[in-house]
Amino acid sequence: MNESIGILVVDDNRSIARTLADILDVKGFKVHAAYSGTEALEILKNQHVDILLTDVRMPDMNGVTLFRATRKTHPHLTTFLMTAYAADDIIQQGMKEGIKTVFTKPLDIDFLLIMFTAYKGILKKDPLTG
Amino acid sequence: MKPKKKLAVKSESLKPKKSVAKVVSPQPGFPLVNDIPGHIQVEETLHQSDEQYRSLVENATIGIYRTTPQGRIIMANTALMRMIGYQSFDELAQRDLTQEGYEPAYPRTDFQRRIEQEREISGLESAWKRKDGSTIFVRESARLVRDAKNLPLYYEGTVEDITERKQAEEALKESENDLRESQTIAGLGSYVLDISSGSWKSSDLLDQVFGIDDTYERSVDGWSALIHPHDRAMMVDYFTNEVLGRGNPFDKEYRIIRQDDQAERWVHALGKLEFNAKGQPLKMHGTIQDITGRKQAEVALQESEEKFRTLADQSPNMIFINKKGRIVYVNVKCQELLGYGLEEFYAPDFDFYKLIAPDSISLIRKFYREHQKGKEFQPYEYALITKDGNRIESINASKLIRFEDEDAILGVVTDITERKRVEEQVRKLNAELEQRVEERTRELQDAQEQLVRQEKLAVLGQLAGGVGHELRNPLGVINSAVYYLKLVQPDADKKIRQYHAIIEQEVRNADKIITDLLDFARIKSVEREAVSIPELVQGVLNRFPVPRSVDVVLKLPASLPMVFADLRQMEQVLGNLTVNACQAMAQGGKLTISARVVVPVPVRGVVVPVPARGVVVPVPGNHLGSLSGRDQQKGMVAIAVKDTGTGISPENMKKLFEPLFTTKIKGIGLGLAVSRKLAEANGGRIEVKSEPGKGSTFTLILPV
Repeated sequence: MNESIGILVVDDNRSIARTLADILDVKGFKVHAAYSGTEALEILKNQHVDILLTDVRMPDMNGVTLFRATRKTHPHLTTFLMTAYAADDIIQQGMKEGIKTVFTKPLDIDFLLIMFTAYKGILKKDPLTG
Repeated sequence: MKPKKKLAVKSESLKPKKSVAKVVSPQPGFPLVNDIPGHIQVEETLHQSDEQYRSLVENATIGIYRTTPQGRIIMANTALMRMIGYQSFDELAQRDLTQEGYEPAYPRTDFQRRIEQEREISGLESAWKRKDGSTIFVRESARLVRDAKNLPLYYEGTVEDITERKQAEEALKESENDLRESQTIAGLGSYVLDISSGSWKSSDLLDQVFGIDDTYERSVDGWSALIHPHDRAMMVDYFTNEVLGRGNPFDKEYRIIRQDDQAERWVHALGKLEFNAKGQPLKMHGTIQDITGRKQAEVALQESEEKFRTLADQSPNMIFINKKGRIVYVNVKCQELLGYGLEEFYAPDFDFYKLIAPDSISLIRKFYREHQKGKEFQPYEYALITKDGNRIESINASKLIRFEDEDAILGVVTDITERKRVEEQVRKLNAELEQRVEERTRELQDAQEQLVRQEKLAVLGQLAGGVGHELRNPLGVINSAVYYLKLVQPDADKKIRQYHAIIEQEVRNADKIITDLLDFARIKSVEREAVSIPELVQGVLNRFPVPRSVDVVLKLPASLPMVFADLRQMEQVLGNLTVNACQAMAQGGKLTISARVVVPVPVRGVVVPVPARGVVVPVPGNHLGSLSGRDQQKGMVAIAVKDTGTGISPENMKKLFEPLFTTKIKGIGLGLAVSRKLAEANGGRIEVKSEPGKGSTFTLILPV
């Protein structure tokens, strides 16, 4: 069951965010979509989110900056990056700081789901989230 | 008594009168005429003598006259009348001597005074006027005849016409003056030496030349004393032996010490002997000229010519003087450089044109001709030929001069052979330099072009990179959208599901193109590690599945060493080769992947296969640049991907690895270009063999 897994999809490209969100929704996740880092942080304040899936290159703040911003408030938030520019150094940096992995665009949706499912198991066992 | 003959001269005084007694002073030869009546015989004798006397007087060639102190002519003989141009005595008798007949040479009063004082005048020269007004010169002797009371009665005289003589005298005087004048002008003193006495006479001018006065001893000794001590013995000897002894004319230049101021002077003495009938010398006539000025000039000229010669001989340049085509002077340098001796140069038949190099001859002819016309030139270049036939490049500066009193050409020639050689060298060096500069410029231009190309490529790459990345976003969306559709319509009809599949496939194709583009545009950093070839091959086959129609054969010996490369990149390369191979076998075929160790050879592009088969085409590109020393020493592994497809035509072979070259319908042809780049970035290379119709083999060679 995926209802209790909250995923926040962040991408300044609305189509990407929307289509992803729709897919995940069909797959049973509790999905939220944001089109900027600022919006995402807003949502995080109010909603229960387990997984953060964010684009790297965004106008107001990039994905890694967003990730960093969540460390204090949501230390257990599992973060994945997605990008068309796999060679961005910032991604390496982010990985060192705790981002789980980066998905290259165009996304391999199945692979994505596998990763999420894998983490779902772990998440479920998390005492904090219950 | 009447005279028996008619006398031309009428003389009243001679008319015998009966009773007049004449007192005449006795004259030698003239009988006394005593008119005493009664002595008829005496009269007859007297008459005869009278006749004789008259005849004498009448026929005398000199003029005879009697004149009165009052100035009247009472007797004149024929000669006198003729002398002064009168036809008859009557006319002459009209003359009043006090008024006319005498030139202002002396007035008659002087004549009278003298004659009365001295009773006679002898040889008085004067000028008289003839009847026609012309002048004659006369020589007169006259005496005074007194009467009984001792008073002057008449003058009786003889006159000689000395006009001719006088004219001759005048002419002589004039010619003497002329002579003296010319001698003075010429500075010629003249002398006459009397051989027997040894004494000489000198003209005033000669005295001046010698600086002697009248008192000076004019003897042979006197002469020799005037001669300069150094020349004396020689001159005396010359005079004695040459001149007197052999009778030769005297012609010598010698020095004297001028008597009055002891100055040393040069003289030129000439003398001609005069001989008697026996051939013995009587006199010597001659001239002596002071030639000190000329001599000094001569000496000065000689000295200056000496100086010139000395200077010229020391000159490092060749100096010559060409007078009317003959070489009249060459300095030492000329002899040294040109190799001819003085005698050869100065020989009358020496043709100076043989000193000129053949290619300069026409130039020299032109200049020489112009020089003859009096033109001067700026220095000009030409070449000389030595006696040995060597060529001397030269510059000639020539000038028209006077030499030994004639027009000549003075030339100063500088040997510029060395300078020319250096010039030539410099020119060559410059040419070389220019060439090198050209080459270098070309190289630089090439390098710059390459740089620009690379920059362009870089920019393109960046652009491509940007575009490529950006394209991934929309592709991502399409992908997701299809995924969603599939998700929400799991049971959609076949056609719809086919279309889902089509969309997904095309997205993948698009992505592949982007990937190729990005890979070509920018090589990702190479992370090399030890790679096992069997694993590599396996990974490739997994990632790039081979169609069912293609059989796969693997020939990978177990002893294969590991290769040192980036695994992912090599997967991409081999994957590319595999995909190409499969695409070449659209109808199916055999895909053989084999690997073997090869021995590297330093020569670019040649690899010795074991065994050698077919044609090995070297892959263009900078192979050696990517091979490190270690690679060359260790060894390489060749992985061959062989297909049985259509093969590659020879024309396409050349373009195979060029970006954007493709024979496929799909794809933009970056695969092989990228593969080559990746291979090289990993220290290896790609080679291809192909037989149209039979198949192709692409070999990836990697370092161990």
